[in-house]
Amino acid sequence: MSEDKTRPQVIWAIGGGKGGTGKTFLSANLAIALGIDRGDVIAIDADLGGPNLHTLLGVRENGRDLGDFIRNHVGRLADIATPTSYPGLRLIRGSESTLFLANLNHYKKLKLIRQIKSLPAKRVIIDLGTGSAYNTLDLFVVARPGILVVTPEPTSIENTYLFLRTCALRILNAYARYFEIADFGQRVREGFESRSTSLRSFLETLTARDGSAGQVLTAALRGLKLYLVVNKARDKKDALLGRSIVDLVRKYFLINLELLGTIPYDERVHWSLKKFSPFIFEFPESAVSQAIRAMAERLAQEEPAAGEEQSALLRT
Amino acid sequence: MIKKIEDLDYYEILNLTSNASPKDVGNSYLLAVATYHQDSLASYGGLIDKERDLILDKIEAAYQTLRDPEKRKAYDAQVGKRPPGIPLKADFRSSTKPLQIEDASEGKSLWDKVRSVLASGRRRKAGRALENEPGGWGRWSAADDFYYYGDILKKLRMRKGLTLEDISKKCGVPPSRLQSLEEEIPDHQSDGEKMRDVLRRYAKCLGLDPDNGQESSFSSRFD
Repeated sequence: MSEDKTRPQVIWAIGGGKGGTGKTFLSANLAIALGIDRGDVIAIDADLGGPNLHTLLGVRENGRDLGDFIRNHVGRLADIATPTSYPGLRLIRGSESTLFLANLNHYKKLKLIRQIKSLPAKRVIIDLGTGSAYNTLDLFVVARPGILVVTPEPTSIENTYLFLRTCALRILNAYARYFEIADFGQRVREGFESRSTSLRSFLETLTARDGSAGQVLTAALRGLKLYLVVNKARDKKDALLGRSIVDLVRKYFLINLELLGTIPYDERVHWSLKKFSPFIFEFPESAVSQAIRAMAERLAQEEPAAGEEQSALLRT
Repeated sequence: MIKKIEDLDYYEILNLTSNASPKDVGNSYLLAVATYHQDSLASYGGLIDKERDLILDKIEAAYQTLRDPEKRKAYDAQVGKRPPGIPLKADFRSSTKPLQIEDASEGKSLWDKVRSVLASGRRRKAGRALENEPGGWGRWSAADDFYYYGDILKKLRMRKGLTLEDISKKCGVPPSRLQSLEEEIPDHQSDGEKMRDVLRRYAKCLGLDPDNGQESSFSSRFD
């Protein structure tokens, strides 16, 4: 088999600014659904602070993890992908080592990204941790598309916008460096970092002063495709929330966000967590499981055709 | 080139296609008010007050024009909207594929790089327009599951600077019943038909058109 054929056709990263929104829950259940439906999935627990994807997948045995790869105890990331008890799904465990975060310097991060992009699986799902730290953002941006998880609470929504602002700024910085846009850092500090203006207004101002720079940076943002999932929705108004966020992000962040789906609140999720059993297996006919399967189906349908490679803004 | 928010046309403001029905216009208006109102959950932390005021004014202007067939016709002629049936051009919505920065080789000049990236986006326009994708804008305008939620009416009332007493005087419904409706507290003394009537009168007092093609979603609130 040639190298191209073994590369992931698609990498999804599940992230968001707030803890407790259900990123890991979605990652685990989506990975199982895609594994069953399409097969050849690797799930990576890249929560650099507190990994627990293995718990949601019911994997209790200790084994090699990302920390071993980062510390060069294992040469290839693919070697620590271990089978799970679910068909078509392998897992790369996160590291529980407290030294892991400190060890993930720039070069090790680039090495990790390179190896993720060359994993021998057609589909890769990255479960990201909470927050807008650069290491987390870079793994989010590497994926196409990234999936944001939000719950209908002010704190979650506020952190989502902060996450998007930081993410957008990371991309704009990468483009500004590449295209040698003069004084970009200073313009950001003056016009954007204070949060006194929206991304759209910032780019409007920048375009008025430097049309070509503005066009390049706007195109960079518009090339970023993201999905939104509203989790723990308790009524139809919470479902409408997703549409509202999509509209605001498209208008004011100029990011191509789409609503992937809405997952209803279900008390039994807590029960399944305590039982160490994936929800989608315990309650396959529930509205939650149906919503997750519908998302998996849509993601699978939108996979790039064979041979069409995904791209990343932050090249390694 | 980026359009300023104030330069977006009324269809773009309400996320509508040019052949949107009166029902679509009404639903999109309510959703837009719910999105950008100062008490909105959706925009919490995402906007500054100046931007919020600007877009709410645009939303109101868009609705007042598009809800009126004569005003809409004149507006369409003014902005050159195509008649229904001819798809809109939408560069942004169709350029969903990622830019590939590596398309431009390192050896090229800055302008070559700029051209290559911009042209790269245009080459990919062949992809499906977002308007036709599941969950895209087209689905929004076609949505028939939008209800007259009490808190959306409340946001609209507040946006118009009206008190419950003002509405009560206009539509002849006691403020306490209007408040129950806004808070979505079930009124056990009234049947569905009566509540529908109160809601309809309230909506009309706010300048909405509950009888204009929105009967199904309006009625289903109480079914």
